[in-house]
Amino acid sequence: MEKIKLSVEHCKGCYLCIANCKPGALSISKEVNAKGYLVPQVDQDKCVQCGCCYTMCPDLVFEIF
Amino acid sequence: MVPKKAPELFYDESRFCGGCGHGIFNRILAEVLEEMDIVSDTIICSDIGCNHQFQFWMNVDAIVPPHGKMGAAITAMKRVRPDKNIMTIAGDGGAYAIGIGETTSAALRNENVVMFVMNNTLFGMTGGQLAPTTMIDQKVASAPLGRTVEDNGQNTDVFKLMGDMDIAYLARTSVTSPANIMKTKKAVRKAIEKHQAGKGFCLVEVLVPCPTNWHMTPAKSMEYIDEVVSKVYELGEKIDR
Ligand SMILES: Cc1ncc(C[n+]2csc(CCOP(=O)(O)OP(=O)(O)O)c2C)c(N)n1
Ligand code: SF4
Ligand code: SF4
Ligand code: SF4
Repeated sequence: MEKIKLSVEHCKGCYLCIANCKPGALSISKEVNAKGYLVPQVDQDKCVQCGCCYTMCPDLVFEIF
Repeated sequence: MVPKKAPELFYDESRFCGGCGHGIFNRILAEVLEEMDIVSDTIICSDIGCNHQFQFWMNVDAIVPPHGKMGAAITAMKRVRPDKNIMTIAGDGGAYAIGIGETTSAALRNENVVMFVMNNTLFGMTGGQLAPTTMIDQKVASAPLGRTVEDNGQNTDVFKLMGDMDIAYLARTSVTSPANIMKTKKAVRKAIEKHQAGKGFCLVEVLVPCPTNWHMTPAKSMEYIDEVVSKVYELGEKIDR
């Protein structure tokens, strides 16, 4: 089930989301966006939809379903 | 409840650096404006500095006075348009250096306006120079050996400056964790509710990171605020009337 959506085109690679994801559902992927940042990826199974990534992200990348 | 989706008033990407605290604060304020359903009843006065870039991605009514003159501008705005919610997003350089006269004069008159001051301890936009909030011994571009009282004067703590003034609300929060972001959101809402009740001058100072000029990663910048900056600049509500 898709619990969370990432609009990684807005990402600026600060990784505050990863630092605040307690269940460890987020990690740095191998994908580089058009701005040149290595963007985060999510393990949907590990996500508990706590919203901490949304709350910390300065660039509106996250949407939780 | 924790929101799950970005506020609708954002029409573009931000122009801030990665990990910049201004972006986090902009979203907090946008959430509050949408939750209170007051987006179209609000005018936000801009400062000059990185902070002023809120208007390049937020679809809100905005006015841009000269750098630092927000205290005078929001006074005029509220007197001319008492029906509108009048607030400013200011830099610590703007509010406490070039604009210290306007900021304190508006507070001394207890004008019914709201100031949100982003304290990143330096001038962000111009390259990280010393601001009134730069801490003693903190190294910045224009004080490479660190701030000293002898050369640069004492740093400005708004709790000391306004702590005894007859104003409605004076608080300081940070954006270093989801819990601190929720506290910031509560303080923002409280200030706007006091404003709507005509209580008088409200100032919320928010400790925000400037990873670029601090030469730290965004995560390290948040630790620096928790371990160093918020020890110098105490968090909490100083005045709540
Ligand atoms: C009258 C005037 N003096 C100086 C400047 C140059 N200037 C632009 S932004 C700025 C300071 C920005 O620092 P701050 O207010 O802390 O905001 P930040 O960039 O950190 O958000 C200065 C001095 C200016 N634009 N106008
Ligand atoms: S917090 Fe947002 S901008 Fe920063 S790395 Fe995560 S998704 Fe990208
Ligand atoms: S919602 Fe919570 S668990 Fe899911 S990715 Fe975000 S921070 Fe991690
Ligand atoms: S220079 Fe600092 S305050 Fe300005 S956008 Fe970059 S991180 Fe933010």
